[in-house]
Amino acid sequence: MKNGRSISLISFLLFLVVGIVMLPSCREKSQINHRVVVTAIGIDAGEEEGCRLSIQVIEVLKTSGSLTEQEHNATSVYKTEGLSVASALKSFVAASGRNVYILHNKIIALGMDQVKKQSLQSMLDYFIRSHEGRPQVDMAVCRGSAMDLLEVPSESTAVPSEQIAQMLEEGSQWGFVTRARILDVERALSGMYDIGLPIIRVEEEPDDSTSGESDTGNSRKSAHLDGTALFRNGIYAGDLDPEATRGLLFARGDLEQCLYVLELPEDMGGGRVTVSVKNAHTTITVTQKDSTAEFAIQVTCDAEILEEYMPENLGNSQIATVNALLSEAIRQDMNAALETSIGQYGCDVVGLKRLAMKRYPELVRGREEEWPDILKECAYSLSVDARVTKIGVEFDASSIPAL
Amino acid sequence: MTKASQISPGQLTALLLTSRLAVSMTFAPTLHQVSHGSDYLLSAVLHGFLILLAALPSLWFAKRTDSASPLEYAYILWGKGGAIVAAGYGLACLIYQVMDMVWFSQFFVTTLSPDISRTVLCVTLAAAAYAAAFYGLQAVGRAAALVFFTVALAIVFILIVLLPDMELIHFPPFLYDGTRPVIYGALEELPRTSELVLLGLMLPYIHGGYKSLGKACLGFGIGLTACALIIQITALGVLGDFSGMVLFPYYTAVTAAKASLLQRMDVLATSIWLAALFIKTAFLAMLYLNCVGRLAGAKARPPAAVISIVLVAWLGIWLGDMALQWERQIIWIVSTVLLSLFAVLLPLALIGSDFLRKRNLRCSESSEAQHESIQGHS
Repeated sequence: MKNGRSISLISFLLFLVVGIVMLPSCREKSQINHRVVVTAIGIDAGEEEGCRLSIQVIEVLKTSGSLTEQEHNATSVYKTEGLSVASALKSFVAASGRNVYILHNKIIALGMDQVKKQSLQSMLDYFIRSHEGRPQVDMAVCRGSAMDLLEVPSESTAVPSEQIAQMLEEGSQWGFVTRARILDVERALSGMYDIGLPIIRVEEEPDDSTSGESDTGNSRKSAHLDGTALFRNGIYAGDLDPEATRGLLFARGDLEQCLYVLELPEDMGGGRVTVSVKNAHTTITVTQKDSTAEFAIQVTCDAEILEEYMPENLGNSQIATVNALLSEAIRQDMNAALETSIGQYGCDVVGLKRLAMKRYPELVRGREEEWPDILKECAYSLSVDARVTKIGVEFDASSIPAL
Repeated sequence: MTKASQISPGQLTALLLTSRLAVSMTFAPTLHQVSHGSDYLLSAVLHGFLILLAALPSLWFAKRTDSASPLEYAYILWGKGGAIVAAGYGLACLIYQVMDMVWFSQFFVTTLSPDISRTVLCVTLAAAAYAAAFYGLQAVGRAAALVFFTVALAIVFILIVLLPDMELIHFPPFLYDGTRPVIYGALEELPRTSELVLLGLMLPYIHGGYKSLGKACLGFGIGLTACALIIQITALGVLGDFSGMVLFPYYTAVTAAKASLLQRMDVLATSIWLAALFIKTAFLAMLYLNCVGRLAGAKARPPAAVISIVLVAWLGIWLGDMALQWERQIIWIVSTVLLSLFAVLLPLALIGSDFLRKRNLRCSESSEAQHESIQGHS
């Protein structure tokens, strides 16, 4: 028993020494004001061949207490340029005398110009290799420059990148974007499937809060989700609009919930019905068809009527029409997603090659490189079974005043 | 060997498993692209069978000699030639410690932080392990049981936490490239199971002799297969084919985990690996010091320990820089030679030598008996 205690003591001392060695403050002499804590990084095309980085950092000396207690924006955005991402980060050290610490980075935003010039592999290699890089960092592509996105102020958080991350999370939950993290890029770069990154558009709007000064040209930037950027083998191929993005989420089985505003036909009195889709479930069946395959994508989902924007209530007999309208709308979105991603750009963002490989290995074996083109020749059948239910109030038609 | 200084079959199984898991958590057979993705799941099962197969010569030897140590038996059979076996076993223990140290320093420097002092880390681990080795096998065995329980619990916990990040599409089809990758994957793993080399040395320390050793080998094969499957499913389910492109796939997969308040699961993975490595190094150090004691007497053990701490740490750091380029040459080929020598050839050579000795004895006894009977008749 005495020996057992001694072993425990030795183990404890071992962990203590290793723990102390690993503590940054014990192995580095740099003070907190000698380093900047990066919360977002933007990568844009440089003036020459290199890249321009925008770094959103927490100004440690300007904060007091925890970040949640800060009244104002606790970050600043710096710009730096270099021949590569790593050299640009190091040139920031040369210019400011402060080292960058990227372990707390939340977002990597890529400018559209840079995305069209460079592959994902070359832009993200530093973050994938670096021991400070985390796989949960959110990725986004910006229409225009990434720097604009990093400069968008936040009303709700002291660190604006947190709001962008929140926007991407909520947007993906509501079917506006496909959320992608560094981990997803790593998976895609291994060749399993292609990747789609969310696109964010930055708009400048007149600042209403300073209405008295509006004529002086004051404006504020705001960020908006704007579809999906498709990459084939890490190289930018094209975009999906928000509707096709929603279709992509359905096809991949990633959709959690979304809204559809359905236009009712004239024989039903016209008007609009807004439904909230949830519990979507996707099944993809692969069948061999000569040297190609047929993919049957079947979606089942539930939906609730949120709003009847029409003169009269929907009768129970009309629910079937809403079912059909919703099913068709979802089918069209999926069709748009497949036609654009596979038919137009040859991007396998759904992972269909992988599914065919699992079901019929002989179909793919030895022809892995040809599959983006083979996918264009494959047959696709899409079917949607939506079940709309009606909840909430039921107005009596006679009680609604005529307009 | 008194009962008080022996360990139970359960403790031996825990010791063997903890020791091997220190390798399983960091080494990926995909590093050499011999077996990848789902095929490695089959390789892990085949590896389990191969472990049982490779343990058979040691078990046969144990049964024939009633659980004698090959080291002692070599002294009995070959006289001073037994010293060569003791030196060989000692050297094997040292080599295994160096190879583990190479991975240890590589992992910390390339994956955790390049700024960490490798010298402090390697010397601390080696010194702590040698200090623990002086407390004997029972203390190490008891600690191993505790560490194995923690490690097993942790890898299951990590699997559950990472389930939301796993997708079926990440698992490639089985046998996509035929059966060859499965066989190569198992053969890549087998020599890295250094515990098979050390089975013979453990014999005098196991309560219950060769029967207990058999039970421990069975538990080791089954337990290791189960743990290897969990580790590979975790890495493959989270990373997919990317698991074949990184040096430490299990650790990379674990960095993606988030479990409520525990946002940094990689710390857990690093801690349990460090604990397992500590047990393995202490276990190897204990066997090494026993070999030194048998060669040069008990007084030689403390100075040998000090020299070994310096040697293991220095070689671990020095070879650590070459580990990526020369991993196969440094670790796999050397391990294969050691496995063939000590797990297969030595037990068979001792059995053969014993057989010849007994036959010679019988011959000389029968000729003496004949001689006596002739004398009696005359």
